[in-house]
Amino acid sequence: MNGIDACPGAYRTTNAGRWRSGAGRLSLVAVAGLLVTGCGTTPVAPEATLPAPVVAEQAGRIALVITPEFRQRRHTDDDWDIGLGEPVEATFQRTLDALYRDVRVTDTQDASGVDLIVVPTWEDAQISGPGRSHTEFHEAWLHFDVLLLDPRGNRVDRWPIRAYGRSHDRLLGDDTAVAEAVDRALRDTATALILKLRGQRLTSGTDATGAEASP
Amino acid sequence: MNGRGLLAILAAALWLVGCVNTSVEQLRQSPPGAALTTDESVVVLGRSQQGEYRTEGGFTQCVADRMDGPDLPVTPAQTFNDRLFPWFEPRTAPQNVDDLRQLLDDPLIAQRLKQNPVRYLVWIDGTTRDTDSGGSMGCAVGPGGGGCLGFAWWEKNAAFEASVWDLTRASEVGRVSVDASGTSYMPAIILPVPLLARTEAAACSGLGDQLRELLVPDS
Repeated sequence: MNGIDACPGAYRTTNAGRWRSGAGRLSLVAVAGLLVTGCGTTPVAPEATLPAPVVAEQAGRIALVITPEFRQRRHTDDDWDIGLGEPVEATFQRTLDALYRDVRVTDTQDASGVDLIVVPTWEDAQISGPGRSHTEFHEAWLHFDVLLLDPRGNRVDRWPIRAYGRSHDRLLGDDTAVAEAVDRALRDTATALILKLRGQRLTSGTDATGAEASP
Repeated sequence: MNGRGLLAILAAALWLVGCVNTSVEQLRQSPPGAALTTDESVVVLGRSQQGEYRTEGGFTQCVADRMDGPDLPVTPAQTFNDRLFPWFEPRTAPQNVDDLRQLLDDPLIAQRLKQNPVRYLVWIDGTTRDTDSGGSMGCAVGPGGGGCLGFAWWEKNAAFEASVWDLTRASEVGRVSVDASGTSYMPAIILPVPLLARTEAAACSGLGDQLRELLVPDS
């Protein structure tokens, strides 16, 4: 309950215990409600509604490594509490599902029977709104590091993804605008992933060090 | 000042607006093709680039609404982008006709376009910015009431260019550019009376009408 923790005044009022009458209790609830609403963080749930990508599916068995830490990633500041891990996981999975015939999600890099292991890790996540940036926009930046490994755990490739999304502010419903900015950043994440992985040679075309095997 | 006087001032303010100067230029690069078939449409997209540059979505939507009609149906930008995801996203969108031809060489993308035929793609690029401002105004509130006194003004410029591509021929049809400048005024004697110049709205209607003229010359 970040909102209440941030408002010690509200806590003290509700714990006073001196208000016994019905009217007194009602007043207490109303005042406490105003205080809690005024300084709490707002939860935001991005939807990760990704359209089906127009890409050719490639043969290949892919392991997507999602650790519990990755899945539980949240962005929390004075205004927002955004669960980022699950929508990002869904974005990676849907994108890989479109690119490859056989994709499975695992929480360990020790994946046998696959051609390629994809290990995304969080680098940074930033959210900004009109109050901070003095613009009319809510903005979201999602930064990842993506490591590709062959089945023996050797590095095949590694690249960063710097995804960005923004939405126009709303007179009412800032939480919707923030969710929309994050959704657009997720869309940008999927786009970057497709550009990087389309044409990625799988282990059949690389040797143990990641260099291309001679014909 | 009595109530009727105030009402008269407010009514007059509704009729007064700031001045906007608009210039529209058109460059046709190829003759128009045959009229749109019944299932063909147009899409209007805002130019954006990898990074944080985006053409304002509200302006793009305004132009799309202005062009839309029975003879020129407009497909919503989101629908078009979803159908062709991820090939018209900020980091993938073709920057010129050569890029478009390369994109259409992909049979999957070409096939998807044929299933949902969009004949013309209109790219809109530009921005509205504050160019100048001046004057001063003060407001005060006391026990007996409140009011404002002064005069303020500000100037905006809206400069946009639309580039029209024929997706069936992978060629550029033409370009339309609009430049609108407007000055808004706010005199205040007790009550501030905003006389707003609708600069972006003028740019939108100028651009939308000229694009219609380019694509449906007989409209």
